[in-house]
Amino acid sequence: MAYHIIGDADTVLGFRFAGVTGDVVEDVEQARAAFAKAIENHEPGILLITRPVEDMLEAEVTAHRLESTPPYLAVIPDIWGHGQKRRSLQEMISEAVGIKIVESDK
Amino acid sequence: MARLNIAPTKSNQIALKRDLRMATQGFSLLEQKREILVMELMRMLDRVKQVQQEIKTRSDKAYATLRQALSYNGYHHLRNIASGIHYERTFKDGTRVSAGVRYPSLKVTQSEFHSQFGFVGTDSLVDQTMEDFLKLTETAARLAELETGVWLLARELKKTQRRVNALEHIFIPNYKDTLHFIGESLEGKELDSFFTMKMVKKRLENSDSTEENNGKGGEEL
Repeated sequence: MAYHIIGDADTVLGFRFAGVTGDVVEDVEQARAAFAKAIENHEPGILLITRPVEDMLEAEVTAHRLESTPPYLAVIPDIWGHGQKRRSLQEMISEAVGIKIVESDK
Repeated sequence: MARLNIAPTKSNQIALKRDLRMATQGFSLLEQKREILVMELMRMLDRVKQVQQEIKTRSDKAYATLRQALSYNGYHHLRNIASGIHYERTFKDGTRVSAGVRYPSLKVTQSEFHSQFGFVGTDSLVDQTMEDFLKLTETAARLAELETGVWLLARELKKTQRRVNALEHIFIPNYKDTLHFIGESLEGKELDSFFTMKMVKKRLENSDSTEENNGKGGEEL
């Protein structure tokens, strides 16, 4: 697995055109199962998830990010433009790790 | 005033002085490391922002093409086409080290865009979709690499921060206080023993002179 995508049917179809395998998920249960399966073997590769999936699985995704093991995560927008309002990476880090990153951190 | 619970002796004082020196050195080193990490993190975050922007433009384009392709060809037809597409990819997973943090450097090589379906029954939109999504996956790999790096750095920064704080607020003041305490009590002891020595000397002198007197007395007798 070099790439794998978890998302809704249409987004996954689009990535099928680039030869990316994918799981179509419709609800939280399916998303959780697909995500757990995708990360279970720590296979080197890139796991693409759509923003709605990220929102659904917030705890799992954050835990995987903190571990920083393969497959490496990349969050992409889905075809419907869901979840445009996003927390920035800084905010997520300060929430999960507990540090604030500011320029003059003295 | 927090003090370590050790006896105020000279050897402890020497050992503590060494510890304090070590802690101060470690503190300044860690402080430097922390600054480097923060700088690196800022740099990475900037790059993440750039790549996210790129993802946005590329995905907007790819999705627009896909939508068009969907409306011209229909979902099931496209799915049939897509099921036959296969791209060869090699995935290389190296590590890069910076500021004592190991992070992954990913290299994905994917084969170039080429037509993988018959020309009959497909239109240019299908080709375009394929090309757009190939570009999007390429960018996504860069994003994954960068984001993973950012998280690793953030974790390391947290760890360093905790060590810096522990040294600055606990260990170094503790050592200083204890050293102060040892210094004071050693001084007190020294005064004590000095005084005792004086007393002893005086007594010895006294007893010497009385002995001498006694001796003389004996001779006389």
